[in-house]
Amino acid sequence: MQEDLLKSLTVNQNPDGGWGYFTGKRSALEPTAFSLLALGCTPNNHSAIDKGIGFLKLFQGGTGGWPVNLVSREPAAWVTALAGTAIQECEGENQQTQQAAQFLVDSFSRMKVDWLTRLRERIGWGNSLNVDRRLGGWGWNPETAKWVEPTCLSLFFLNLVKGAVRRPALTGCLAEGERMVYDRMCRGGGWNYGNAHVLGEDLRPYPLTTALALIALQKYPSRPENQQSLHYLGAAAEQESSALALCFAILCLDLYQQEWRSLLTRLENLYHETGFFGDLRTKALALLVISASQGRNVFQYASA
Amino acid sequence: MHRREFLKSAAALGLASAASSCSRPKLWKAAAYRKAPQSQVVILRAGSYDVDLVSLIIDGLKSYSLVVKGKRVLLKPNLVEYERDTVINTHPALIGAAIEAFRRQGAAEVVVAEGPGHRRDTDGLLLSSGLLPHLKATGTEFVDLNLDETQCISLSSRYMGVDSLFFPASVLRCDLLVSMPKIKTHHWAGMTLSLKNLFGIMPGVHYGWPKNFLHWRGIHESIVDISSTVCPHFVIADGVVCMEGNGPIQGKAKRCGVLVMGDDPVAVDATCVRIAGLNPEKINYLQMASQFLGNLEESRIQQIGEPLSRVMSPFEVIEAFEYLKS
Repeated sequence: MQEDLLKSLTVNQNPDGGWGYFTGKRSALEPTAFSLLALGCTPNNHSAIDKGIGFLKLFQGGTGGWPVNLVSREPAAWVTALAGTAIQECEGENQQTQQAAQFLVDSFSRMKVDWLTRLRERIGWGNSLNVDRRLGGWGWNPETAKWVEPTCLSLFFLNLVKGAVRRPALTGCLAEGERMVYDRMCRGGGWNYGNAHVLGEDLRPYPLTTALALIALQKYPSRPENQQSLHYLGAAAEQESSALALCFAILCLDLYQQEWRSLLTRLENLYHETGFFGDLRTKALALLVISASQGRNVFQYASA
Repeated sequence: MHRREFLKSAAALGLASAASSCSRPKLWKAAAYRKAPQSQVVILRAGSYDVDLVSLIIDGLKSYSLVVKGKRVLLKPNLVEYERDTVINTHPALIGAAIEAFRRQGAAEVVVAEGPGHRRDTDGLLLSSGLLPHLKATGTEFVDLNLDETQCISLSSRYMGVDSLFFPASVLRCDLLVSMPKIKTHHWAGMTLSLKNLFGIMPGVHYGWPKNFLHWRGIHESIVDISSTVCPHFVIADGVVCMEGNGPIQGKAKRCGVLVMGDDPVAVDATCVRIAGLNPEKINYLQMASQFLGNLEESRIQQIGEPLSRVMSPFEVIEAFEYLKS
């Protein structure tokens, strides 16, 4: 599988240096970042990596953020965190990673509450979402609600570069962002993509979001919330049918030194069954799983 | 003031606002007007997903002057997430039948496309939902619209207050967009049908999961602006087993045993709401869409096949939407 995946990434690099989500598609930031991380874990890919890093540097905006693809101009926190992570992994901390970190610090924000919601809460309908609205994080888009995935990707990257940016602001974002993620944990462990509770109903956790949250919160392995969520993830990963989610689950379980070797077989089976539907991002993540199996997990703070 | 009273007042305000908008400047471009004097909606009995769904769909298609031959058809089902023993998604057997039906009608290409609203792991959804065998059996391509190439397009109406949005290239390229919703209650929009189903075409890569940007701009307003810009050419609504209560994910199965089809998405949606024993005129996005996209009034909708009265089956709704029953 490793050889196949590597070949697939190499031949699908676009002339501009980036990767699209699928063969022949225009370059986008997310698959480019994961492809660079994957190639960085395997030897003899210098030329492809240089071209890929060149692509990232070219499209970083003046504010330090990256847009999701080449047709968009608006920078987004989640891809900025991914692009920053890729550069950090391939080149170490530099001007681009510092600017990316600054962008994330600048785009950290708290949820805006509209007048209707404030009114509803004031007249006693309570907080239907059951979340602490005072806690900030990152959304998929500016000026919208804060979500688990963009917040966790941002937290992960900021933990990599925290020496670089204005320290008080950065530590403040990290601490509050982490509190926000813990606040959203589902009853019984694990994370949904958003809130844990809506309109009186508990929402269920998912392996992908739980893995991302646990990766972001890896500094606190013994906290009960982490342990409870890890327990959920270990069980859920056994049933997971998404290769994308399974890759993140494995990388997370590896960070927490949990047994995951049987899941690698499951991932290989999914590859043989579906070819990961041609998704280059998932192929790159599978290479990161193989790298973890050889002792190098790029999602480990000390390693990255 | 109680929650229920407040929601009633809010709904009344919304309706009053929609009504008064007739006297305000129009919020849609002239080219977006596609309301016919009269619309047809086909209701066909389908007791289960084991019946000959292909023939039923072809029967439905034949009631319209829709030209399928040589066209690139994009089927947009409602695939949100899979959980055993739930009825969240358009049934894969119906999607498989639609692929076959459009092929038999001479379509040059049929693709199935969806951008699930909540989750990024669409690959798992294809496997767990049971759709993959239907795609493989028919050699049909699936496009994850969340990750598709995109193009920024000027909107044909302006309820959200934005001029343009990113749309997936596959949707813009197709000749026939077929919305295939599951008939479900929806805890924010009232009901989710062919128009709300179009949230799924909006690329998550731009708008996030669950496309929160659209929620913040107003669910009803977003539905109308998206629909006015890429209006479905045909609707095949899965009403065999529907969802009532706290939909669109946590509700209960509700067996109605029908397929509802038509080329006016507003009229099809209105009919589905009536089948559920609810009043479509109280659903804001339908009210707005009925000003220019299609027909809402029962008198302007000709029912073909089963009479509405014979298939009506009142749905349970959450307290916030009790007012839809009147």
